[in-house]
Amino acid sequence: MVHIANVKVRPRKVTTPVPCRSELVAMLGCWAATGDVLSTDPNRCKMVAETLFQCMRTAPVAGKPHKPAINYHLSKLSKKAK
Amino acid sequence: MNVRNLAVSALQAAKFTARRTRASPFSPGIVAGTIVARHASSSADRETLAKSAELLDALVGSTTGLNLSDIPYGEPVPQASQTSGQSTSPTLPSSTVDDPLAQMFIPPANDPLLDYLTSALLKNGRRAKAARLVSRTLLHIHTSTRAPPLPIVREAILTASPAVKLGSHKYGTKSLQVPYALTEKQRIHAGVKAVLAASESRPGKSVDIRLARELIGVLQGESKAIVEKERLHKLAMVNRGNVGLRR
Repeated sequence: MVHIANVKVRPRKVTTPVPCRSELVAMLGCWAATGDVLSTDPNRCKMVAETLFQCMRTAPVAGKPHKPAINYHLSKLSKKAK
Repeated sequence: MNVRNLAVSALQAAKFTARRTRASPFSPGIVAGTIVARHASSSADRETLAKSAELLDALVGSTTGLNLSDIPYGEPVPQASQTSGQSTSPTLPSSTVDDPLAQMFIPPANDPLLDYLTSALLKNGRRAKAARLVSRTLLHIHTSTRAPPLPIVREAILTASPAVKLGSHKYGTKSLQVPYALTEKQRIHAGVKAVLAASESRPGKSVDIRLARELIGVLQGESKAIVEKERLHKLAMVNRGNVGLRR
């Protein structure tokens, strides 16, 4: 039987979810397509930018995701592996 | 009181505007948050003036310095007690279509944007000094443009505010720039910071003169704040593939 003294892994990095991601991507894409980087032209990117601003006004505040506790559980198991 | 200073200075600016713009076809719907003065000809207008005098009493404390009947527009304004059958406290009329008060915008005692600007100019806890600077900035804008200063400030700060922010994230050995959307408060904060930084390079002996010149310059399209905003937005555009990156 293999004895592993201390089992630990490097857990996956958790990233905070991005609010209004699709609107942000749409606005950045509009800038790239038209070149209206300041979003001043109503025919180009102004409405897209306004959509993003409206989404940010109403988007729920994203809390920090729970950090993975895999190493805690593994440390519990490693005692049984003796 | 700082509130009183701001309110009084705004009222003085509006009084100045009222004297200058006699028969201007102002559309009150466009300019929000300012006092719009029109030709006081009808009885409805006189009622509006009387009601606004009561509201100003409540806001400022007294209207002895501002005599609404001094505005040279023809018939004198009757006192609030003389208006037929009206109660002393201002009541809302039943229909909004005929409501003269709906056509007249009276700003609140504290404007949140002006409070924000005051906080940004605050140093060593001297809020009264910062409030005075903001007050004088509004005055300088009005003297340069002969227009209500508050919408100019609002428009200028919104024009100078960036819409995104770039966060640096390390993925392995590489450090990537990830664009994030900003909330309204974050945008205003960034805009105010940019405007204040850009105003340092303007000519003028005091902060309020430089800030006034900068705010007007932003609306005219000549500002370092806008150049910086464009640079940031272009960088975000180039890094648009990194949005929501997970590895």
